[in-house]
Amino acid sequence: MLLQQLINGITLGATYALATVGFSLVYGVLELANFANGAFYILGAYFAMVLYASMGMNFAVSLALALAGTGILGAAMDAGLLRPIRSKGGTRTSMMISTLGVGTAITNLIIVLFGSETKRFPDAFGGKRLEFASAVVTYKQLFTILLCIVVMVVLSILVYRTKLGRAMRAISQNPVAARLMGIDTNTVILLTFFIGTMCAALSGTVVSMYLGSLDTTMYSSVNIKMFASAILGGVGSLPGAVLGGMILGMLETFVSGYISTAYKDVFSFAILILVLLFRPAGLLGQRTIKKV
Amino acid sequence: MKKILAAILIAAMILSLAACGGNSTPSTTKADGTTQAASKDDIKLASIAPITGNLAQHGVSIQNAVNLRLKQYNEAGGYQGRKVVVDFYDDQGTAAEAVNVANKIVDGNYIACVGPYTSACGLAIGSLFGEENITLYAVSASHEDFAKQNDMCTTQCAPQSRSREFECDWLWDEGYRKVAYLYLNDDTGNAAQNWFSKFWTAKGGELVLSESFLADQKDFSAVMTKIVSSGVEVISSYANYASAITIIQQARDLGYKGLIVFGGNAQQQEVIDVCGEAAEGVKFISQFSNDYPTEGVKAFVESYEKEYGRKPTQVDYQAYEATNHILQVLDELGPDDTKAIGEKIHNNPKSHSLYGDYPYVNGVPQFPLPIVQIKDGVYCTYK
Repeated sequence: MLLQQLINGITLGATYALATVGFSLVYGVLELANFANGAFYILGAYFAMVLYASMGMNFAVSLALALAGTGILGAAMDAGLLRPIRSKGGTRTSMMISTLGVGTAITNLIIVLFGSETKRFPDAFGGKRLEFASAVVTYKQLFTILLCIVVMVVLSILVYRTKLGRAMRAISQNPVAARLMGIDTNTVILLTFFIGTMCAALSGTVVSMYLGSLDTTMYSSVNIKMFASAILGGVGSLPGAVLGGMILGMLETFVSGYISTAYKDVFSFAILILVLLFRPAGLLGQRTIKKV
Repeated sequence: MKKILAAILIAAMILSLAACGGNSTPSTTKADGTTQAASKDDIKLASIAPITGNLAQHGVSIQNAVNLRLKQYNEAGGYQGRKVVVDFYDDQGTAAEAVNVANKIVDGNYIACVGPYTSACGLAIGSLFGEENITLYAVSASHEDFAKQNDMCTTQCAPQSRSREFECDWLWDEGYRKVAYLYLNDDTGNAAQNWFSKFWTAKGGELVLSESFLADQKDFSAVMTKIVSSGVEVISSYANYASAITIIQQARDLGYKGLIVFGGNAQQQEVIDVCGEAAEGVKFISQFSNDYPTEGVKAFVESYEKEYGRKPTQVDYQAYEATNHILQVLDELGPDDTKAIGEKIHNNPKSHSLYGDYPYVNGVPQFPLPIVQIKDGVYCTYK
C-alpha cells in the first residue's frame, strides 16, 4: 500500500505542479495573480476533448492545437484587456479583478457551449498499465509525471538560458528600466501570457485524461490548489511551483490514505501556514527588499 | 485594433455572463412548449429549478418533464377547459437564490410550485411556502427534515432513512458483509452515512471504512488504494453522478473488481458514456427505472422519448410525477384553495402514479424502490 500511495501522491503532485507553473510564470514577470489561469486550464482541456474525442484527431495533434488556441486567447486577454489597464496606470488589483472576470466568463461560456454535464476524456494509452510489487501504475500516470518533469526543464531553460527569459527577468525586476534598455516589454509580457496559458491548457488536458473526464467544477478546485502550491513553493518561482505542488499532492494522498480524506485539506493548509510562518516568501521564494 | 479587441472581449464576457446568470424573472411556458404570456383564465404553476450553473442538466430535466405533463394535461382538456401554464424560476442550485425566487413566487398567484431540486434549497424556502399556504413539491429532496417543515412541503424522493435501510437489507440478503462507505460531505450525504452506518452495524455487518469527500473532489486514488488493500466486498457511495464517474474509474484502475453501489442522484446517462466498460455491473438504489414493468412507466418513457429524443432520467421522472400529483389534486379540489391542495398532496392516501397507486404520508412517497444496474451499456432493473 505504501508504494501505491507514493505513486498516487507523485501523480497528484505532478498535476498540481503542472497547473501551477503557468500561474507562477506570469506572477514572476508581472507580480499579477492571474485568476483566469484555472479557466484556461479547463478551456484547453475542452478544446483538446473536442478535437480528440469528438472529432477523432490524433492525440498529439489535438493537444498541440488546444495549446496553441488557448495560448492565443491568453495573449488576447493581455493585449485586449490587461495592456490597456497597464498603459493607463491601472493597479495590479484592477488587473487581477479583470482576470477574475475573464475566468468567470470563460467558465460560464463553456457551460453554455458544452453544458454542465461531465464529459468523457478518453485514455490515449488505451488503459495500459504496469504492475509491480503489488502496485499499479497506469501509462497515463507515467505520462503525467514525465510531462511535469519535461515542462519544468523546458521552462527553466526558457527563463534562465534564453534571451526571452532574460527579458522576462529584467521586466520582473524593473519594467521601466527594462524598457529603457530597449526591451519590448509589451511583446515579452504578451509572450509570457501565451506560454503561461499554454501551460495551463497542457495541465488541464493531461489531468482530464488522467481522471478520464472533465467538467467545469474543476475550475474552482484547481484554482485553490494552484494558489496553495504557488504560495507554498514561493510565488513566482518555477522550481517552487513544482515543489509546492509535489508537497501538497503527497500530503493530501498520505493524509487520505493513512488518516482520513476529511482531514486532507486541514493537514495540507496547516502545513502551508506553518511554512509561511517561518518562510513568508515560501520554500523557494525570494524575500523582496523594499527600497526606501 | 486594441480597442476592438477589448470591445470583443468585453462583449463576449457580458454575453456569457448574461447567458449564465441567474434569471429570477420567470419564463412562462405554454403546454406546447412555446413561451407566451398567460391569459386571465389560465391556472398558474411555478417551478424552481437549477436552470443555470453546475446542476443545469437537472434543471433542463425538470423543465422538460413539467412541460410534457402539462402538455398532456392541456391536450386532454385542462381543468374544466382552462389551461395550466408554468413559470420557471432559476435558483442556480443555491439556497440563496432559491430564497430570492421564492419571495417572488409566493406573491405570484400560483396554485403550487414544482421544485426545487435539492434538499438544501427546499430547506431554505419551505417555511415561507408554509406561511403562505402554497405547495412546495420538491423534486429530489431526500433530507429527512424537508417534508417535516410543514404541511405544504412534499417531496418526490424517498428519505435517506428509507433508502439506506432498503440498501442495507438488500446487501445483507445478497450475502455481503464487508462494506466501505464514501459519501458527499454535505447535509444530505452526512445523513446518508449516519443512516447507513446505523442500519449496517445493527445487522452485524462490518463497515470497514467510512470516508467523506467534497463535491468537486477529483482524486480518489488514495482512498481507493486503502479500500482495495482492505479487501472490502462492496463500495457503497452517496454521490452525485460526477463523483460517481471518478469513483468508478479510479476503483477499476486500481484493480477493484467488487460491487459498487450508489445512492443519491448518480444514475445519469453520463456515467455510462464516460465510464464505458468500467461501469458494467454498477448498481443504484434508485427512485426510477426505465424498464420498470408497469403501463404507467412504459407510457411515460415512450412519450418522453418521442418529445425529447432521449430516455428520461430519474429527475425527469420525479418532476413529471410531482406535476402529475399536483394536477390530480387540482382536478379533485379545484384551484382556489391552495392550502387544501397542499394538505391533500402532503397526506394523500391514494395517489395515482406511474408505479400504480401508492400513498403519501407526511409529505413522503411510499413507492417501491427499484435497484437499477448497468448491463450491456444500458440502465435496467436489477430487482
